Amino acid sequence: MTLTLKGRWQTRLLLYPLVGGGLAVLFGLLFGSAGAFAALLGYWLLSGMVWDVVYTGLQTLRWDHDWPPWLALLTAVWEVVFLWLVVQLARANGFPTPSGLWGLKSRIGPLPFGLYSGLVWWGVFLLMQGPMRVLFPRWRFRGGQWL
Amino acid sequence: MPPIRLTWEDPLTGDEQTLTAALPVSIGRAAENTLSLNSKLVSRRHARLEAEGNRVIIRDLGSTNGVLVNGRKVKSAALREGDGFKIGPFYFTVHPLAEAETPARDEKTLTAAAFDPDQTVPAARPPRASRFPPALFDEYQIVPLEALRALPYPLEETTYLTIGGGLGSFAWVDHLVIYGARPENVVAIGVEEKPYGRLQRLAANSQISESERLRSNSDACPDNLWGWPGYALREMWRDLRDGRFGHALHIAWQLFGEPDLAETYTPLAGDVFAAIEREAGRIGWPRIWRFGRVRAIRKTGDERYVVAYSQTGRGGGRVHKLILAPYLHIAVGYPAIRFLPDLRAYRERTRDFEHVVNAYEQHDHVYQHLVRHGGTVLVRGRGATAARVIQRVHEARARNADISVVHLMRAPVFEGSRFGRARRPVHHHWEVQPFNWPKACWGGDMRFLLERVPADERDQLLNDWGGITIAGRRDWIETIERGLQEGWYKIRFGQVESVRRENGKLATIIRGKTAIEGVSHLVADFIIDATGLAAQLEYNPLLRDLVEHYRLPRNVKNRLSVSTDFEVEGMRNGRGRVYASGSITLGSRFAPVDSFLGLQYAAQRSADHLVKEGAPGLRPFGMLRSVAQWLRWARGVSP
Repeated sequence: MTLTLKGRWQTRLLLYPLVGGGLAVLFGLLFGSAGAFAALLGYWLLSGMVWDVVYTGLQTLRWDHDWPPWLALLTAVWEVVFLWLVVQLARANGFPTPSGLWGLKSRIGPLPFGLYSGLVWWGVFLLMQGPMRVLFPRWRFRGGQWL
Repeated sequence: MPPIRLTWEDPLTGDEQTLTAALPVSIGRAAENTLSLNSKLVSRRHARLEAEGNRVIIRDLGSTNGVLVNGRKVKSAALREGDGFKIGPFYFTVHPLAEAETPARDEKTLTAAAFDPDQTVPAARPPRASRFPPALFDEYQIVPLEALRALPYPLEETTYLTIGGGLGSFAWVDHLVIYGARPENVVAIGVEEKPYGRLQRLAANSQISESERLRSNSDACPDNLWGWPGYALREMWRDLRDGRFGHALHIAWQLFGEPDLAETYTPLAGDVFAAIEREAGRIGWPRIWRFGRVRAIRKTGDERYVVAYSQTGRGGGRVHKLILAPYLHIAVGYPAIRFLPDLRAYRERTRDFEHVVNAYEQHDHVYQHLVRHGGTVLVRGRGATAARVIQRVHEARARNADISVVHLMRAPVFEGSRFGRARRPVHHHWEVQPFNWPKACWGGDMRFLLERVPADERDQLLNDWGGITIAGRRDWIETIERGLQEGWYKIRFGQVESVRRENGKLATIIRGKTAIEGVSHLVADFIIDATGLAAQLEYNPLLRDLVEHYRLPRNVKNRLSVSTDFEVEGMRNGRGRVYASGSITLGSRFAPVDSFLGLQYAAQRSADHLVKEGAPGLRPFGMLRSVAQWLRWARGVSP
């Protein structure tokens, strides 16, 4: 994939809620609070958009200015691990607001956390490989912009 | 001191350029140089040619990447006529220092041969113009309809007309029909019955059989405008059905790890052709295509265009016809095979078409002879075609170890091209990248960048991103490394003086690194010119006429200037619109014009533009139509 920054953002904003939203409801039923998973998704989305700026910079170091799947997976693992560490750190030091950091007050164990984020990434990745191209026939030529 | 004359090749197109100037001549990237060269590998003030007594000296002005004379890096050197020197990606030849300016045109016509698909050997000259198209085509800028009606030729009409009939035309027609055009309102004129016909022949001649892989990506599918499912997925599916689980897994790994952890996936030529064949049937191509050689295009008085073309009649004679259309598309492909001047001169002098061949000609006899008798092949050029030829010789070596290759390059490549902070890798003087352009040129930041920069910056980007490269295919790189180790593959650098026959062999006389006292012989049984295809508009009589008649603007690479929607804006005629795609548009605002995906992109942009212009029968191709059409594609029913 040869995503541009705008493309990365637009694709994230479309696909993360789409895939992650449904999965949050499902995981809520299985592991308790759907809100916690939705909040996790929200933080991932926001921090991911910041990471996207870094990735776009790194991408220009590559001759092809591309971002192959193995890099996408690697960076996704990093994003999730980073998020996990931040949540743990925040929990250890007490949340900054009395109500907790929105939604993240209820605990998500490492297994549901990993499973949820893994499935979200996999779902998003698969959608980008195929259906996105059918839904938005110009998307692949526009660095991932669909708007 | 008489002025000096230099010729050099455009690093992207190979087109010959000439400069005749009085000494001293300064060369660099900055505009104030006598000769300014557009590439990041050229320093702002790079080198200077000066007179010293009656000699010409080239001096490196402290450039970053240096000056190579006859293949060797120098600080300063005396140049004699016929010497070659290299600055960045530009390779220069020094010409006789005569006062008289020799026109460069004569040489230009010698560097390529017109491509006639009916012949295995390229014709020496383009076919002579007969009295068709009629004289009034020369008289008018806009031909009145009544004048056309008065002519003794059949006059037909259509809505959408594409000229060329190859993959560029096919991609355009595929989009139009999927966007809603009815096949009976679309006409494609060309000489090959199959849209992939010419590609298939060129591939076969350059030793890419249907079971070899093309240098193309999985989702560049001329048969599917969405690029999904790509060729990789389809091949995996077939592997799974046939129980070849290991191979399916291998493809999955390629898709995941390419181009770093695994070799880039490339589709089998046979699979691509079969897929296009299927799509051609689905969109009604056999009813859309008709045989014909297009002779001329003119604007008409009723905001349309008239296209004059010739067919071969039943008795073998020519039948001339005219056809009118308001929407035109030109995708005639490469008009010529590039041919090195010294090899062409040798062939014209000796009529020896057997031992000196072009990689794009049918030349299987070379490999057959090598297997039977052994021998040496001299390869010129260093693109993917040269790599495949060397690999093919390697295959022949399995049956006869007494075969060797001398690869003659004009100059070594030490530094890969540069862009921003990225650099293109170099292996054994071959520059390596998966496809013929960096990937982001198709749909990433590089495509956007090229669209918005001014012309001279575009020229520089094209020079630095393009050029001659090979894919980092393990089979190619390993063949080259093995060959170098085992000694049957040798790389030599030098400027060719001439080629002649000596003691039943071909002797290439060169100057340069391998030279002993200025001249050296490289002896071989065969010489294969693998320098590629040429796309100067001048080689195509139709385009030459069109550009001259309407004074159409050229782009930075001297090709047809087209808009970002691939419209030839100089051809507007009221509501009438002309589009172009493929190699003839190289140098406009999109780089990978001659790739599968590039042709599809061009088709998409021009189809979207036609929708905006309110062209009849076409509907906006939004999400719902796209999904509906994809489902029709998947079921194999007509759009």
